[in-house]
Amino acid sequence: MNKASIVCDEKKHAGGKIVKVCIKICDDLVKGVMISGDFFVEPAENFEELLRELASIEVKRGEVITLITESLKKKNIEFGGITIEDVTEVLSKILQQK
Amino acid sequence: MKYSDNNIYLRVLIAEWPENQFFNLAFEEAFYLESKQPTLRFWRNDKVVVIGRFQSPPLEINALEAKNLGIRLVRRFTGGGAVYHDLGNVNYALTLPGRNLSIEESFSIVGSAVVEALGSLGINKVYYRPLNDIEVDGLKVSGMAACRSHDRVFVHGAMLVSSDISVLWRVLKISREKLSDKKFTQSRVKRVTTVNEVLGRVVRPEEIYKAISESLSMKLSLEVEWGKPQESELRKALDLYRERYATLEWNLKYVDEVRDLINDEEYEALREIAKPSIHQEKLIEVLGLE
Repeated sequence: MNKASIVCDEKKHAGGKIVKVCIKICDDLVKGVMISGDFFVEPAENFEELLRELASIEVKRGEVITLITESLKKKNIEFGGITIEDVTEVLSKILQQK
Repeated sequence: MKYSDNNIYLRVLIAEWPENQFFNLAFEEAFYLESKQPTLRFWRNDKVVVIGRFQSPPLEINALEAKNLGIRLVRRFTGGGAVYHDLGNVNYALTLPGRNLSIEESFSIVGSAVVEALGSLGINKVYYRPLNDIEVDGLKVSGMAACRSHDRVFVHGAMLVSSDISVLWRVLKISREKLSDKKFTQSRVKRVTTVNEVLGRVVRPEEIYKAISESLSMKLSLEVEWGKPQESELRKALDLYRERYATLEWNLKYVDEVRDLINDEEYEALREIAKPSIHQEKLIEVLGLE
């Protein structure tokens, strides 16, 4: 198995904020996801709980977007300045990289 | 917006500990949580990068440069982006207990009041730019952040009055998204301006305090009542300082996730700037709250 590497990318929402996503990836496995940036979130505590969970996941590359979008909805997380689609777009960009 | 509860006063505080940026941020959250009435706080910080609640320090700050310049790092409890504070920067913060406003409404109320305040000082072409900026003729002069809970809303902002803008660009990492913006790279320093630069004179912090408190007082239909921090607020601030703002766990949250992106020297610099020095700790002792 190769050593895990961290890959980051970002997106600026039109007229809004920047979302930065970093993924820890090893072969076909995603071993951690961090979503950061200058956006606003409600409720903050729910988002922080999700970030704690995402810091030590172990899921297949193809399952990570569904996992995150479902978790965001389940925890009733609402962004200000970015959208869930911005997050998934950045995730897709990273996951498409070899 | 008329503030129709029993409150008829807008309590206004000048409560600042510029020499301990960690306590300044602790008090910010304390007065948000503890205030029993609408309260406006003015304060200044000395040489610090204040990052937003959901930002990762290695992605936002040049730690080695900050360390060399004697600049600290503190995480605040609201979202939004990283800002650089020095004594040429004036901060304002408003907490409204009993209000159920959206984040957008809160920004709009405070933003328009700050615009009116700057207008009253003689600044033309000043306007509120949603979501959270105040600009003068296309250049940012103030940014805001906000949060709310079940029983209150909170908005705070930083205004560039005479800040050293060149330092700001040295210590903040500029995102690739912004670097790809040609307009941005052509004149980085000219993306922002200061009140002094716009007015062509030295503006004292007290002039800003008076102008903002008067415009917010009008907007909220509340009478200005100058006050002092309450003991409960100071004690809460001290608790938050010890539990949160003076700790690496809080200020360096979201560092481990990207630890491999920075070298050991940068990591150590982050650890040094994100906690109070011994001298700063002593300043807390003189408050006499322990």
